[in-house]
Amino acid sequence: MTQALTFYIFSGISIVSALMVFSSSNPVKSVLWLVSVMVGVSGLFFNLSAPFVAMVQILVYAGAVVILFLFVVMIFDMKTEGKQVFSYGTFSSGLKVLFAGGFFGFVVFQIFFQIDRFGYLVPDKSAPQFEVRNLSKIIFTDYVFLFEVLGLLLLVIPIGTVALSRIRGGTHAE
Amino acid sequence: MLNNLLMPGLGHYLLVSGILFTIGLLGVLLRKNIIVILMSIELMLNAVNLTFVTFGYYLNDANGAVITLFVIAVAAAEAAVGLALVVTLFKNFHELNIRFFEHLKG
Amino acid sequence: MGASAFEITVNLIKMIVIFLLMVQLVPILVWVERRGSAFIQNRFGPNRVGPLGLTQLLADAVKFLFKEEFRPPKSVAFMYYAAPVVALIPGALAFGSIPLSAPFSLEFGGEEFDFVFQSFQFGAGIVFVLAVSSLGAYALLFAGWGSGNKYSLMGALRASAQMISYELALGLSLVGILMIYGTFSFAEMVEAQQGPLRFVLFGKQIVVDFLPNWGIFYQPLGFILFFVATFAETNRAPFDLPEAEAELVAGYHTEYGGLKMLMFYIGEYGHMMVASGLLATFYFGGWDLPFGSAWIKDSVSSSFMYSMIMHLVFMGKVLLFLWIFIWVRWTLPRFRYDQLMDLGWKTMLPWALFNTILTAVVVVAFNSFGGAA
Repeated sequence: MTQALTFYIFSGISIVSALMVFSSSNPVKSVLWLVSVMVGVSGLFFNLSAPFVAMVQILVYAGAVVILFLFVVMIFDMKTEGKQVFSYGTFSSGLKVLFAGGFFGFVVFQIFFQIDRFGYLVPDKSAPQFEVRNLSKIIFTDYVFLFEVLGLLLLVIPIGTVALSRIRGGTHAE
Repeated sequence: MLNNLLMPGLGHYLLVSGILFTIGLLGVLLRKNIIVILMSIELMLNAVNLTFVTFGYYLNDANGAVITLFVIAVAAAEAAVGLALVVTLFKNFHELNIRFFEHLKG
Repeated sequence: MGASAFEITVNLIKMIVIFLLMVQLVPILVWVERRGSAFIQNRFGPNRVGPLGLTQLLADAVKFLFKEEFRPPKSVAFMYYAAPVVALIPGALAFGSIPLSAPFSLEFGGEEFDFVFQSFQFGAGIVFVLAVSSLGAYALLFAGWGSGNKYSLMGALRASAQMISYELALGLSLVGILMIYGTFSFAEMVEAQQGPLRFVLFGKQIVVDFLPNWGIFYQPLGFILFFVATFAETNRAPFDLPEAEAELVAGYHTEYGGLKMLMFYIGEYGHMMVASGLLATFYFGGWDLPFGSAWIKDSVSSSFMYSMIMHLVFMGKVLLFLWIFIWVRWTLPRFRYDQLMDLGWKTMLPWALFNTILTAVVVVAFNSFGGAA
């Protein structure tokens, strides 16, 4: 019962906030709604008995990534020009909406007609599959190469970021 | 029957994930502000993470959560580079409309 | 986190009690800060109202309550009013998840109930505290943007950049101690730090009788890094650039007055309390009293009394660290902004990485510890 209640609360929060991210005309508001999406998704992770993943979600997304977004938006005062938030072109926009709607319809169709095949799946609540010890064991045995590559990526990213932000002019210099 | 439908299960979580992904997709396709497009990409990544964790939970498999951790790390890196690009663009052009950048020739 | 309605209710009540405990400590800290700074600067400080100036706080509270309520005309209403409230939340949530004392059991109508002296407990408690306290930057950004003031915005941007930079060093300096104790749970960590100093070296058990089994003896470098990083995270001097009054008027809370200002104050002191609690828990044995815990446990009749005494021990440690926070504020001058960033990225981050690698090498190569010591 509690699980049902928290599921509906958190999924409601995340979907409504996602819609607000999509439709806000002011980027600052979009960023703030994005925080709310992150918190909602983190609550859903918690509901799926993955507290560690939920905490990492808050720590990395809400605590670092979204603050970076907010930081950039605020420091340059990037207001959208006017109320027109969507790119122009009626025909192309219609096509895009049609494509996205088709994708969503496909997902819903798959869920409704394939879900019975997964009816046998019953989560084993006593098993500690999402415990930190278990997760780290998998990371450092099965995925150790991926982990090392990720470390390399995290080394390359700051260098690239510093290089990008130090560019003066380039081909488009005025 | 209704009680059974209201009780959240595999399908409910997947549906939420699908809705989030579609909103993110629409954001990438329709919005014209580059920063909001980056945010929509984060939304899509979140939706995918939710799917991973859901299946991990229902299949009793920790791999779902592990992949989610990797995706979060990559998403953070991607956001850092994306924002650095946006800052450089904004410094050079004072423009954030994605349609402004569709002509690649200088 | 509880699953049943009873457990959730108990947790909520405990959360409120611990929040009130935190808020009650703030006026005393303000008094200590003012008297302490006066003592350090060879002044008197507030000494007219009541004995030792203690009722000055009451007068201050009344003053705060009766100040005029206003909003700057160019501010954003929602963010302007949300910021002080958001400033309170991370401190309250994080302080609630630190074990303030030993668990105890009480009897209600012939049934025994076990309680933990913290609002909620779950496996990844340390990650929870880090996650929640990283949300503290939002209060500053809300205040800076919502005030519609350039000084506020500059202060907020400085603050958030500083918090993000030092969060890396903070997290990395903790990895060493996490490796040694092999747990993410506060309770297990405190449990592992009891008794005399003992560890396994080259497969041999070594016991040092005259030292407690505290984290600081295993992680001195980690302790220094964590200690410095907490100063930056709480935006206290010498890292109080967000509110550098010589450059930015008062930083992010320039436009705030009265009760809203007070809430920012409580938030800042809450952050300090969380930092002190974490320092005590990670490096100074939490609620453990060296060489005395076992004796007290034997001589006190109920587990509730034992828990209360241990709570006093814990609060003693926390107050000691709070005094060090105040002491440092009135001793060291403020950093320049580039010095701050240099310290964070070029000094503390490499040393934290070095500490991590050193700990890993010692734990694996010397076959020490083996999980919990």
